[in-house]
Amino acid sequence: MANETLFRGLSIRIVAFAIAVLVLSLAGLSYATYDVFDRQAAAELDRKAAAVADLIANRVGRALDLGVPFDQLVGVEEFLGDVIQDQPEFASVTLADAAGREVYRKDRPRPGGGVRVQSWPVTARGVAAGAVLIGVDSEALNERLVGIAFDVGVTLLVSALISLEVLLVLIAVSLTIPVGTLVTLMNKVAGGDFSRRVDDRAQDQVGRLTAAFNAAIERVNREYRAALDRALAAGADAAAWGAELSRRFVFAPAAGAEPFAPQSVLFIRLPLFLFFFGSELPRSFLPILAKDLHAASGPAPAWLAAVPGGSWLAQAYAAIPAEVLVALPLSAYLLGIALFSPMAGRLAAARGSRTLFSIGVVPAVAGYVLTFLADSLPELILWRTVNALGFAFVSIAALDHIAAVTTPTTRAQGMAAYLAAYVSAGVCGTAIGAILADRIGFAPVFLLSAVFTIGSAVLLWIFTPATPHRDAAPAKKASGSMLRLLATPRFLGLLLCAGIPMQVIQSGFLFYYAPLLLQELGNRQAVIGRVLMIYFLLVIVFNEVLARWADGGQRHGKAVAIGLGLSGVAAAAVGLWTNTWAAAGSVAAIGVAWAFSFSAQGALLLRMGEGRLAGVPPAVAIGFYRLAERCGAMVAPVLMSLMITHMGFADTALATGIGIAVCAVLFAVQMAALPLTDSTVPETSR
Amino acid sequence: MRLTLRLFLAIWLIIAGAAGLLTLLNHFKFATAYADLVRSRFAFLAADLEQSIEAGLSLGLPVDQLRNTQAVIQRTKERWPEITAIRVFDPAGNALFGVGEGAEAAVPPAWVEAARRSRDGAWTLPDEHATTVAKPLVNAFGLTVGWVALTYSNAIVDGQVAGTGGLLVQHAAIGLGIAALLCALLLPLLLRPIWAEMQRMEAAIRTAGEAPETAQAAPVPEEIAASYGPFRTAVANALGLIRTAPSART
Repeated sequence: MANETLFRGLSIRIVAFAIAVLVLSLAGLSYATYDVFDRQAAAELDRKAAAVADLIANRVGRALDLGVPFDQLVGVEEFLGDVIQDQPEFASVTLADAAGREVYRKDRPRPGGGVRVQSWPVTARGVAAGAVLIGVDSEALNERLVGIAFDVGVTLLVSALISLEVLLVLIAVSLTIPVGTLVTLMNKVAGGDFSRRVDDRAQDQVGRLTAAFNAAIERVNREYRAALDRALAAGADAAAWGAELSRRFVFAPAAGAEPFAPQSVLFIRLPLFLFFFGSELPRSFLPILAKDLHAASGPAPAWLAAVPGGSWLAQAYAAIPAEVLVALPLSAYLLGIALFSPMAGRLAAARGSRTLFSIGVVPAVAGYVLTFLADSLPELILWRTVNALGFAFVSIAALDHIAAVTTPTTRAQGMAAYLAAYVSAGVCGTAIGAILADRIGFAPVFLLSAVFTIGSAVLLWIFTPATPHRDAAPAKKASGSMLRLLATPRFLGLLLCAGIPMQVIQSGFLFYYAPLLLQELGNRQAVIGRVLMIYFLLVIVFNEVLARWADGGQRHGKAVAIGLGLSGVAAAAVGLWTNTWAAAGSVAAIGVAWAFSFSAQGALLLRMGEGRLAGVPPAVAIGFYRLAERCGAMVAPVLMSLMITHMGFADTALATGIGIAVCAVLFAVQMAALPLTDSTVPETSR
Repeated sequence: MRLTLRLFLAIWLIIAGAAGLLTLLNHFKFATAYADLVRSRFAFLAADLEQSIEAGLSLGLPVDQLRNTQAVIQRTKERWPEITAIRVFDPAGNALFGVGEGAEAAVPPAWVEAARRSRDGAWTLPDEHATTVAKPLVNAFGLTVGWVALTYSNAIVDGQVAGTGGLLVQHAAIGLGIAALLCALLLPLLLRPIWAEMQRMEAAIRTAGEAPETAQAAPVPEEIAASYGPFRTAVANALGLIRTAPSART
C-alpha cells in the first residue's frame, strides 16, 4: 500500500472544513425551515383559536342574554377545563367581564416559553359584555414537529460520515497515493533503479510534480542510452564501463520506463461504501415488510400454483408456519450469501475483483427492482436471494481486491477498511432507509438501493484500477480439516459458545426481533431506524478502542466473554422491561458488546492458529469458522420467530438473554480450563 | 480535473444531498403536522355540533326527530365557509340531515365502515379531494345513535403545503448558494500551502541532477525530505558515471 499517512493534516483540515460548512448549511436551513413552519402554523393556530373563542363567546353570550350574571355562570370552569385538555396548543383560556376582570380561567401546566394571547369579544343583547382570551402556546408547534429535530440530527450525522468517507478517499486518490508512489519510486531510485516512472496523468500540480519526476528518470535513461551508443561506437572500454553501470544501476529499456501503478484498498472503499449503503437501506423494515406481505398475500399466492411443480410448492409453502415464513427473507438472504460466496471466490481468482464487482452489481440491482415490484412473501424471499448473489459477489470482490493490494503485514489494515465501509454504511443506510420508508413507503426504498448500487459500479470504474488476475487455486477437500477442527475442544468451544451466539444476537435479536418489537410497541419506522442506527454507531465508536484494549494485554478471551455477557444482559433486560427505551438501551449495549467481541474472536482464532488447531492452516480455520457463524445467523431469525410465536416478545428476549449469558459463563469456564496454545504458559503472560 | 474542483464538487454535492433530503423530510413532516392541525380545528367544530345535538338527545328524542339539527348545522356551515358539507347519519347509513355538497346523496359506504371500525366512535377519513371528520352522537343511555360528519376541502391544506414546499426549496437553494460561495472562497485558501509545497517539490525534483550551486536552494518539503537526499545523490551519481563513458574520454 502507498504511504497513506502523508498529508494527514490536510485531510483533517479539509474534512473539518466540509463538516463545518455542512453544519452551517443544515443549521441555517433548519432555522429558516422552522421560521417558515412557525409562521404558517401560527396562522392556522390563530384560526383554530378563533373557532374555539367564537364558540365560547356564543355560549356565554346566550347565557348572558337569558339574564344570568357573568360571575354566576354554572359549569364554565369545567367547560374551559375540557377545552384546555382537548387543545394541546392552548396554554390558557380566560373569560373576562366587560371591565376586563378575569372571572374564569384555566391554564395548562407547562415548562415555560412564550404565550401569544388573543382576545375575542363576548356580546349580550347587542353590547360588549366581556372577552374570551386564549393564550396560544408558542412551543406547541415544537411538539408537533419534534421529529424534525431527530431528522436533522440523523441527516447531519449521516452526511458527516459520508463526507468523511468521500473526502478522505478523494484526497488519498488525488494527492496522498500519487505522492506516496513518488516517494516509493524515489526510494527505488536511491537504490539505483531508474526503470520505473509514475503512472499519473493528472492535469494539476500533482500531475506536474510526477511529470517532473518522470522527466528526471527519462533524462537519466536518455543520457545512459546515448552514452552507451557512443561507448559501443568507441569500442575499447565499453564493456567494463557498461558492467560497472549495470552493477550499480537498473535502467529502463529503450521502449521507456515502465509505469508504476499504485495499489490501495482506498480505491475500492468508496464503491464498496455506496454498495453497502444501498444494501443497508431496507435493514430496519425488512421483517415488517415480510409480515405485511404475508398478511396481504395469505397462505400461498395464486401464482405459486401456476408455475411448474407449483401445486407441490404451494402446498409446502402453506404448510410452513406463518412465523417461520416471515423470517425467511432474512434467512434466505444469509443462506444465499453463504452458498454463493465460494463460487464468487473462484470467479474473483479467474476474472479479477473489478470484473466480479461489476458482475455482482447486476443481480443486486435486479433483486432490488424485483423486490420493489413484489407483492407477495414468496417473491420477497426469492428476490432477496437474488440480492444475496450480488452481495456475495461484491463482498468477495472487495476482499479479493484487499488481498491483492495488501501484504501480510498490511492485511489487517485492509480488513479494517472493509469493516469501516460496512459499519459506516450501516449507520447511514439503516437510519436514512427508515426515515425514507416512514415517508415514502417500503417499496420505493428498494429502488433507491438499486440507484446506489448502480452508483457504486460507476464509482468502481472511475476509482478502482484492475487488479492482476490470479490463477484459481484448485479446490481442496475440506471435510477432513473441518472434522479435525470440530474435534478441537478450544475451537469448538469458541464457535458454539461465542461465534454462533453472537450471530444469534446480531441477525436474530437485533435485525429480526428488535424491528418487530419496536413496531409492536407502536413506534414509527423512523424511530425503529434510529434505534438500529445506535448499534452501528457504537460499533464505530468502540470497535477500535476495545480492540486496542484487548490487544494491549492479550485480553481477547476476556473481551469475548464480556461481549457475550453484555449481550445476554441486554437481551434479558428487554424481557424484563419491554418498552422502547429498554429496547434502545439493549441495542446500544449490543453495539458495545459486538465491539468487544468481534475483533477479539478473530484474534483468538489467530492465536489458536499458532498452536492447537489440528494442523489446519489458520486461513482455512477462519474460513470454516465464518461459515459456521453464517449458519448460526441463518437459523437465528427462524428461531426467534418461533420463540416469539410461542412465548411472546418479553419471554423470547428473556430466554435469549439467559441463553447468551449461559454461553458467556461456559466460554469463561472454557477459557480458564483450556489453554489457548500451550498448556504450560498462562494466557496473561503471553 | 483539479483537486480543488474535485473537492469543491464533492463537498457541495454532499451538502446538496443532505439539504435536499432534509428539505424533503421537512416538507413531509410539515404536511403531516399542518394537516393534523387543520383536522383538529374542524374536529373541534364537529365536537361542538356533537354537543349541541346531544343536548337534544338527552331529552330522550330520537335523532331524526331533532328538528333544530338542520338549523344548527346550517348555521355552522355559514359561519365557517371552509366547511364544504355537514351531514348527520344513523348507524345503518341513512342520511338524516345535511347541508352543503352532496347533502342529498346517500351516505358513502366508506363512512359507515369507518364508523363501524372506530374504537371511540370518532373517525377521520381523508380522500383525494376532501377530508371528513366525524363525532358519534350518543344518547342519554350511552347508545350511539348516529354520527355528525363534517367535510372540508383538502385544498386548505394542499395549497398551504405547496406554498411552504416552494419556500423550503427557495431556502435550500439560497443555503446551497452560500455553501458554494464558502467552498469557492475558502477551499483554495486551505489548499494554497499544499500547492506551494508541491511547487517546491517539483522544483527540487527538476533540479535533482544539476550541480549543487544551481540546484534547488529552498528547503525540501517534509513529505519527500527523507527520500529526496538519497534520490538526488543517486541521480547525480548515475549522471556522473554515465558522463564518464569511454567515448567521452576519447
